[in-house]
Amino acid sequence: MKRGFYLRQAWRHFREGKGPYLFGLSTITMAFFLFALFLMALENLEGLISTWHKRIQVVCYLEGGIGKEEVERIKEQIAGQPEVGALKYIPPQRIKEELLGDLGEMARGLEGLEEELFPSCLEISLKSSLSLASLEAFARRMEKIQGVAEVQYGGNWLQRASLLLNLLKGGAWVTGGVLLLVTLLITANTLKLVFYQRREEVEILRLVGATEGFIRGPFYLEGTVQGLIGAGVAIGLAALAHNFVQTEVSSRVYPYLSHISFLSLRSIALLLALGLSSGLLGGMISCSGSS
Amino acid sequence: MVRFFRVSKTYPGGTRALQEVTFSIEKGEFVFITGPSGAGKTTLLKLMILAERPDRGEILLDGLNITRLPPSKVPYLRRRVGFVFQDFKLLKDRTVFENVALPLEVAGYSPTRMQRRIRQILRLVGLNDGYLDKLPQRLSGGEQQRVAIARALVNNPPLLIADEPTGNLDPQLTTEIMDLFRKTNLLGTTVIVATHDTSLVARYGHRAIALHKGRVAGG
Repeated sequence: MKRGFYLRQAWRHFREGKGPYLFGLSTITMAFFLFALFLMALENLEGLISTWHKRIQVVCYLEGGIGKEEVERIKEQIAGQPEVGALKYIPPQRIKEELLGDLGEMARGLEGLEEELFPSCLEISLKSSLSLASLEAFARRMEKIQGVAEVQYGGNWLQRASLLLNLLKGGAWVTGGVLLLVTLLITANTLKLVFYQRREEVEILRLVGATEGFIRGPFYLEGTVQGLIGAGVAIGLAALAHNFVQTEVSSRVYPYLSHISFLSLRSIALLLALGLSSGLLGGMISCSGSS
Repeated sequence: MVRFFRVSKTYPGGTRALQEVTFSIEKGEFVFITGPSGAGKTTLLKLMILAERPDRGEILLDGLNITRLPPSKVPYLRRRVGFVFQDFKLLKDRTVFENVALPLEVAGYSPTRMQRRIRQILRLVGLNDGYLDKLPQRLSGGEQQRVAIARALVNNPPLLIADEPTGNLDPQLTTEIMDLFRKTNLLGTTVIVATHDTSLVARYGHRAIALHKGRVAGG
């Protein structure tokens, strides 16, 4: 019975205050849409870094003029490490070929260089991705092996990317907080206006014995619905934008964009929860101090 | 039914609305509260439903001391009191049915019970089913007051309070509305009518509590 009354009241309030409601709703939708795009970019960047991190290889360059037996010994020693998944020896000849291949035209005149000038190396694929700190420790251990001249693993680059990701994550929290506040204020102000418009009705409801919960219920419901619709429409718009980028933009501008994935279920749930809670809080604020 | 014991009320700004007011109204009685404008009639009625709180004194309603009733319990007290206003206080954008239904919605009646009860009460106040879907603005003053009375009585309160209920009505309609209150009283409801109209009090001959400058002057 109470539910029916809340729904009828909420619908009546919406019909009478369409203007402020639609203005509030479109502002909330816009704010959530921008946040959804930001989250999508963040998730894709995170995915990209994680893929790179998983594929990372540690390359141990061996000292020049090292013998076969020595290489076997180093291989055995490295293979015995718990982090190592696969190990591949690249002889100087291959390294020379790869370098010349990469340089193309610019390599003219270098063909005559002796293979001994190029170092041989061992490419290590890891069993599972390691944290930056563990990766660094592993590389240091490899450096200590006799016969290993230098170890490369792209640690600096990965460190910078992770730092950027963390910064963006921090930004997401701040943006989320601002968004919560914006939705809360818009909802609270819209409903405050409606509450003021309905003050005569509220007075009569109080006189006939309505509890504060009964009077405020429809306003809480309206705030919640407004926040949820705002977040829901924003997610829909983000899906349209994602589809547009994947189909239209990627084929004309940059093919990689076709790999961009849509928001994860976790982010969709986060956006809806944010919409719901900020709307509900806005509804609560709109009625506060009115009894 | 209603007991006031040395009740005083002063509004912010220093206006003394009631001073040391003591009286008692028995169950099933019909009582007028009389006095000129500013005598404290409306304040006295407001205290009965805790729309205002007294500064001093005790108020007993049906044996319950409401003076220290916590705010969360006030709505339940108000469900036991019907209130009729001079300006009817009907919601203009709601039909007669929806206006009368408000106290029942609040009390959690089912739609079927609500339908039955509203038709019953409208018949009691002299309005047939043809009024159910009408908006208050399309009704005469007398009809609007009947709807307001129907709303006050719809959940069978033991006490009906009316503040200048005939103030906006012509003599013919005044008689009709007063007859309605008498009929309600005969059905067992305690009725308290506040009015400044001394001729009305004289015509009906019920007990009158006279207020003058916030004090009981007689009754």
